[in-house]
Amino acid sequence: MEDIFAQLSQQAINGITIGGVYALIAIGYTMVYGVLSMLNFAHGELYMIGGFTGWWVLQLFSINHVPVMNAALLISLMILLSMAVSALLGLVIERIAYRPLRKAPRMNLLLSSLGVSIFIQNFILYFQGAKVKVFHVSQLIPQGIRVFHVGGVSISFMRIFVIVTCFLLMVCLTLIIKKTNIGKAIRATAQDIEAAAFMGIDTDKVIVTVFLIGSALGGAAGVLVSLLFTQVDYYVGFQAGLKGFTAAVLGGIGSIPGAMAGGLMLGLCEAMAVTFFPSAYKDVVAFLILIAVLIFRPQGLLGEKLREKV
Amino acid sequence: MKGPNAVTLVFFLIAVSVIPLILPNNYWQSIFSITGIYVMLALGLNIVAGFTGLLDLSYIAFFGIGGYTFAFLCSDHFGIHLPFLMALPICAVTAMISGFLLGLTSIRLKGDYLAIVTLAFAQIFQLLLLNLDAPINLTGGVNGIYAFDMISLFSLKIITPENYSMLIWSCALVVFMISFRLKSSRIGRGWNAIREDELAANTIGINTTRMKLYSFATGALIAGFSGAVFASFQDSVFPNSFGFQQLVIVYCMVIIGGLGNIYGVIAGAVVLTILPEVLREYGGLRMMIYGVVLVAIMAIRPQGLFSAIPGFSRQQRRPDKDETGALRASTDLYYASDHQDKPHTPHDPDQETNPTPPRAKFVKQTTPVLTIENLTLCFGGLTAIDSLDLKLHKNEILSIIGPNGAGKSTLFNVISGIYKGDQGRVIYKNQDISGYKPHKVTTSGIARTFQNLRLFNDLSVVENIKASRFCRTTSFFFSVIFNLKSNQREEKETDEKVRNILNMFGKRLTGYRLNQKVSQLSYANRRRVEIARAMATDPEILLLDEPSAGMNPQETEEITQFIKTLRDTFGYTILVIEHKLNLVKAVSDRVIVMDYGKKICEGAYDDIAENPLVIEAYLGKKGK
Amino acid sequence: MECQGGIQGVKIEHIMGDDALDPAQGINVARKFVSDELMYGVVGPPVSHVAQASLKIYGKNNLACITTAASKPELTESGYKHFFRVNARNDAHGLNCALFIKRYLKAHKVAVLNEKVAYCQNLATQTIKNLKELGISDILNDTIVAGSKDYSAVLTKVKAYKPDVIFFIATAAPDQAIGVRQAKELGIEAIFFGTEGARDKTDFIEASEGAAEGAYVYHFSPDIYSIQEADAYVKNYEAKYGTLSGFGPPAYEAMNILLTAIDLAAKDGKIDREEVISQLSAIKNYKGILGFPVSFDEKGDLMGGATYFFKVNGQNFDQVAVLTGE
Repeated sequence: MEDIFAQLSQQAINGITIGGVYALIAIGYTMVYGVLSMLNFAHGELYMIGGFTGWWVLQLFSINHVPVMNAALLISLMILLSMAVSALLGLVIERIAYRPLRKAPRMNLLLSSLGVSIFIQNFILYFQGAKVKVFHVSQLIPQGIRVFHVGGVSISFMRIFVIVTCFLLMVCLTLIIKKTNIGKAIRATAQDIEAAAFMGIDTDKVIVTVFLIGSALGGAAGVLVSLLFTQVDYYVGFQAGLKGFTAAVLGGIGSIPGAMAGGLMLGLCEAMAVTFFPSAYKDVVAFLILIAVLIFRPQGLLGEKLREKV
Repeated sequence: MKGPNAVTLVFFLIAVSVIPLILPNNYWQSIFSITGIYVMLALGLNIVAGFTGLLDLSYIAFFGIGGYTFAFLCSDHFGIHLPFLMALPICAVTAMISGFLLGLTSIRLKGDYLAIVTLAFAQIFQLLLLNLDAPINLTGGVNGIYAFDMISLFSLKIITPENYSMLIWSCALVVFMISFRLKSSRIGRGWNAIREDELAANTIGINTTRMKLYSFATGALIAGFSGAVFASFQDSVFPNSFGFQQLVIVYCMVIIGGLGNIYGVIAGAVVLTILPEVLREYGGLRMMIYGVVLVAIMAIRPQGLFSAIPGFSRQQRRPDKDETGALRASTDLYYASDHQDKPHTPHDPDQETNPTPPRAKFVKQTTPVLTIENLTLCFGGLTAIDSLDLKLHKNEILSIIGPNGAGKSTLFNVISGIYKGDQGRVIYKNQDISGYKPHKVTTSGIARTFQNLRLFNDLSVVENIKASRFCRTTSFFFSVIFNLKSNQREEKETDEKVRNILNMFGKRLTGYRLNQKVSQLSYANRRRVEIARAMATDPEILLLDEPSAGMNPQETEEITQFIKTLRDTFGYTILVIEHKLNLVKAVSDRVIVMDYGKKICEGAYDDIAENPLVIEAYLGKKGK
Repeated sequence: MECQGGIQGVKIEHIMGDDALDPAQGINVARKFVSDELMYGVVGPPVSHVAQASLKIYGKNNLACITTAASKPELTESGYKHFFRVNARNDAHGLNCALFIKRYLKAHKVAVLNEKVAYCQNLATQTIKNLKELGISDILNDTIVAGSKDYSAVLTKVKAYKPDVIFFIATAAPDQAIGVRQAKELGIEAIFFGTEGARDKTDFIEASEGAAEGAYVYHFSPDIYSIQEADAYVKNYEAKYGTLSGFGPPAYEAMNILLTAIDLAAKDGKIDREEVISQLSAIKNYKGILGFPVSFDEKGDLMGGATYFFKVNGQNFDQVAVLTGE
């Protein structure tokens, strides 16, 4: 009995860690969908770029895998720069690929974002190769606190760090959305973009802000995961993107709390599924959940059913 | 656009037979064959995404289903060895059924969601292919399945690469012909309508859910068919041949060619299969370039690259521009249309020269055809319609007026089935039609126009109206593809009916305008097309929502006369929402006034015009 | 992963074909090679499922293939004469690994995690079968996905199972580095036993940052650093390219054998593909850098192949055992 409990607790920790990451990715999707009603296929690649940026920063400030500056500082730098680079990239994408298509039929936007995703993925593949980039994280964490064993459950420092950072980022985001003016503008634009414009809100600026925030969070997710699993390669964006989608839709696309809830739920479901099924089917779980939600409750857990005005 | 004529076909057949003989080696031979496969795939996707506008990201999975089914049926894997001609249709139909089933679960979802669900399905499919080799070996896992039986068609053995390319291109030709037949048929028109505006398509009598399902299934059928042929050619199937990368490539082909443009899509398929081979040194850049291509085309030229080349698209020279490209004076065109052919019309020639209206053939009857009983509809806290009772009599023209937000258009939406009332009933000729889907309401005999115009913008005037004939014709796939007598007859009928309706509008919608995209017409003309489109469904009752909006006084007078003619000469029963009270006065037998969802007054125009409640609703209370 | 082909004459030309470990692309590469009339031999394909896919194409066109690592037994059982190996087959490896697990690692409970690719699956099946025959029946078998970066879920399952040994059958070193690292982080006390792909200093030992200490891997070729004949090769290679991976030496050996065969075939002034094949079949006791004489049996398999076992010690692999199936 104790064993099952220990195993389930361990899986729960696994689930929450990856769930937090899924949540960060999902928020990016959901925010963009809220204001533009479009699904940004390229979002997963911003996650991947976040991971790569982290790696480049680490390489820049390490000699022979040993960091030349204080580890805490270095990690903070990695995270901040990853967020910045992804945010910037998100901005560029919005400007070049999406803004010209604001009034175009939906399909065009989706296909364009697909094109952006493919381009970025293969760009990195071409210039960085297919081999993984390794993060030598042991150098960043003092020996004594690398792993903790409590009861039958083991949790590494990095895992705790990731969970805490995800949580902090989500809290920051909620504060921004609820308490600041730009947050209010975002909520207004998400409800009705035309009305918001009539109320004097610069909707272009809002859209840019949304892309900035969403992409930054995606980048953060990327670097956090890369630190946690110590590797990144050109392909991680695709899978992460799909999972992030799933989480966003599960929680209710357009709803930020939904994205968070959806992410956590998805992470936990996956971890629990592995306990009982062959682990190769882990990804199938995510997709089945997606299909089931869309068929039986398309507005997701926390979304609202929208009626089309005729 | 007309399909290929006999000369093109012969040329094509000769080309396909000769090219294999001049290709340098087996490698290029196989490229030639693969091109044929991709042409088929692209044509199939063109039907789903191009004709119908469905972003189907699972398309490649059906290609895989076809391929793996062939592997199951024609190899040692399960020990089944069906002859090719039996296996091929089974593979295609299996894929089609899978498409149908997937469609059933997700076709009601809006565009983006459909994309995700189909993408998820494709991922699951690949995962299953990879993992279903234990405990029982179904799919061969990552090793795939190989060594298939040789094809023999009635003692003709397909072994050499040359044989295969003949076979593949013959299949491609078949798919090509089917595409054309479908495009120019009622089925193609229905699909185009759905792509342009699904809601409007519903209101002209098209069961959009079913039609989308058919489109999905047809695409899957073609993909499965191609998959089987592909599997035989490769002599093997692997999970990685049916993945996201291939899907992207097929999408690029269709988009470069132009969604819906059959010749363009074929050209796209050829270019995108051959170009990477020629540019093999840049292989690493290939997928990157596809990405850029997708973004660039969507931003700059979403109609595809090939539509500008003459012969590739039916884009005619705009008749309102002369050879130098300058716009001609509209008056020239107006009078020029005098010389256009005017076939026999039921239009009364006296209308033109004789100002006195002819004796009305139809007048308001006493039998009610449409009854609304105690209808209530709330949107959250807002009561849009409040316990409304209404009776519409046969051949009556009943106007509904009231301030904005009174619930008039909402009422139309309930009648036409877009909304369902929370309480109360809608009864049409003794049948309770409350809760009927819009297409069913239309096929029962009630047609409508929209306040904000919902035309099929990318289609021409004629195509818009022909789309309405969908619900009154019945030719299905078999009849359409083989162009049976019944289909030919229906097409002729459709042409005639459409022309008759257009002629009712006099000189307004004639000549060159018929083939113009409706998005290029004036606002007033667009309103006329919308009314014409509603009429083409052969309704008994017409619901006209602000028919004169955007028209100047002279045009308003025209439409007023037109509405009267619709009832007087042609016997329609009409429910009109209007704001222009002179129009209301001129046409109405009775008027109903709504405010805040309630009926506040009912009667002849003169009676309600004096009613203080009505005046208050429009102008406010009189000050003391 | 690449394969190379060459022409012998005055000039030798290397042509690289990249199949990205994907059988469909492997077929494409095969088609291209066989239609190149001046192509007389191929070193590769290195991976079983790609080799399997392209077997027929190369076979029908009599283009000789020497693989360096493809270990699925069926590859040499299908009657084609063109396929050769400088490595031992999975059935041999499976037996040897099972023996190693029982005798050296002294395990009673084993967790076998494998990727769902031909070679991994095959090896897993063979090893499990042999373990059972040796009396070990407490076995947990689950799957892992290549490149997924996170094995904590399945490793948690393994942790609860409490095995003595984890046999982590993956293709690439980075995945095995993550596997060994996460196993340590989860507090799993079992011995980590990886496959030939993990025999890579940079991508396994360094990448795992110490977690791999004490782990074992097996390989189909011996410790190249301890073979005298290979000294020159090792020095030249590492000067130019850096650390040698486990796959380098067999490829070098295979290439030299191929060139030797082509040379012999061309001696009479004429050369064609069938000749190259027959020369290859005739290779007996070729002494190269692998430290044992290479001969091909009538199926094209390496005669007397052995499995070599290594333990991670600091930054190096120490060879600890050689098993040949007894």
